[in-house]
Amino acid sequence: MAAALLLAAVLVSAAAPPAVFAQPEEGAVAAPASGQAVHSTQSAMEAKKDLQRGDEGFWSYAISTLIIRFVGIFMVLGILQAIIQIQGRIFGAYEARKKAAAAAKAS
Amino acid sequence: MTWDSFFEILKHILTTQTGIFSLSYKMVIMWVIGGTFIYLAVVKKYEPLLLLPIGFGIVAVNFPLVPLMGFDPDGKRHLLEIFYHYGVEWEVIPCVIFLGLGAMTDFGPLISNPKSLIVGAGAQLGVFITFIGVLFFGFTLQEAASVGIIGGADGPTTIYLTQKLAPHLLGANALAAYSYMAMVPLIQPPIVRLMTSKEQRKIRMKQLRPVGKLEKTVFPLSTFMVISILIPAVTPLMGMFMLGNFMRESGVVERLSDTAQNALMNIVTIFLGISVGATMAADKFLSLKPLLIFGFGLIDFAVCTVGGVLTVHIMNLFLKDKMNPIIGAAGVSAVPMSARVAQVTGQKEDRHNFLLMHAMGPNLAGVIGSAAAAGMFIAMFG
Repeated sequence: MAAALLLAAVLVSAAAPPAVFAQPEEGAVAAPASGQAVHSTQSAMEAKKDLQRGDEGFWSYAISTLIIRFVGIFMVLGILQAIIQIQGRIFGAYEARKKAAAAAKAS
Repeated sequence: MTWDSFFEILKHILTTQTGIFSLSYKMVIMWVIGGTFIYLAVVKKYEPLLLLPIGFGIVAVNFPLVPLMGFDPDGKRHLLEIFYHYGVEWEVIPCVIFLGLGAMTDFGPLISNPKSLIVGAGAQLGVFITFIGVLFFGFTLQEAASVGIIGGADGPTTIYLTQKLAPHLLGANALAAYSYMAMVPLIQPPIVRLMTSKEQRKIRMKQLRPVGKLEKTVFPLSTFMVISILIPAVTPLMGMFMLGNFMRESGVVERLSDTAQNALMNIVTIFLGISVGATMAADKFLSLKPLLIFGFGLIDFAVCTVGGVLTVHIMNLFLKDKMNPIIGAAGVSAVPMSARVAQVTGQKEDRHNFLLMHAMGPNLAGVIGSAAAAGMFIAMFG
């Protein structure tokens, strides 16, 4: 679960780096190593998203984004499912304990 | 005054102050298209809340010289241009609509059956066909991504994504999305019957567990946090959706919740409908691209329905308590229309089988799934 969460976060952040990395202010302190990696990934993305049909790498980029998107939705909703299930168990146990306490008090 | 000068003035008035001599056949075609949407809304009662103002907007902007969707010589925006600019271009209206939707929505069926989230993800299958298909016809990556969301059958999400990636396709995309949402009862049942056996359609599902108030109140907060971390690009939409739901479930701001789901929702629906219709001026709309969008949108919607049903079939291979595959069709969003269609389709086989609440789970998952899909496209192409 934690691995899936991490993988999803990496996938999405690679696709959309935070604005702070996208437009560093003039004279700002250099971003940390991980930030630089994200920045260079973004430059590559910026260049590729304007590819035209017939350009080299157009179809492979288009199909890659499609697959990442399709698998990504399963991962995001899968993570959400896991969280809802965990929440359900916690609240189920809480409700049961509350009921048991109320029953004990009544008896 | 001579007759010559009289006719000179009359000619000047007729050509510059009236639209009589500036009418074109393209405008008449747009009147027919707008009239068709008004007909569907008024007579057939298909999504009248949206199709009526959209239809009127289409007709209204397709008259020559009307100061509705453009700029005055001194740069002042016309009336519908103001609605469009501040409502749609600034991405305010889709987010406010999501606030109202959140305030209207009971997530109980989804919380009690979280597996249905996977059905919502499976019902995004159509994008494969649409995205690749329109790329073959010369669409750019951004345009293809905006068309690829139509099968998700979520109007505000379609508008939000299109406005970000391909604003010139807004009218066609929004119209295709809302048209197919209105036609859910016609499109989905034959596909469902084709993909399921009689026995499968008769499957009765286990009753959903009741969901407590506290669990329902925590749900929008936790979902908001998860989506915001994983797909920040879609936080404006999902944030408003979950805020609306939190207002509803918390029970402490009933006045706000009531306003969000009624008055505010109605106001923004008027502005949204007329703004979308107003983007469809003849010179922009009558080209090959909108026709392709309508064609591929229909295929997208059908394949998304197939994807939802197929996902339930696959899940049933592993589940002890089988799911009725009909509810897979509801994974395409279009709340609550597709859940109702699932209920009606199921009852045709077994009058005592009540699938509505079971179908609401995939239906709500479809909304979240479509928004997640939009967020990923924005992240990749925005």
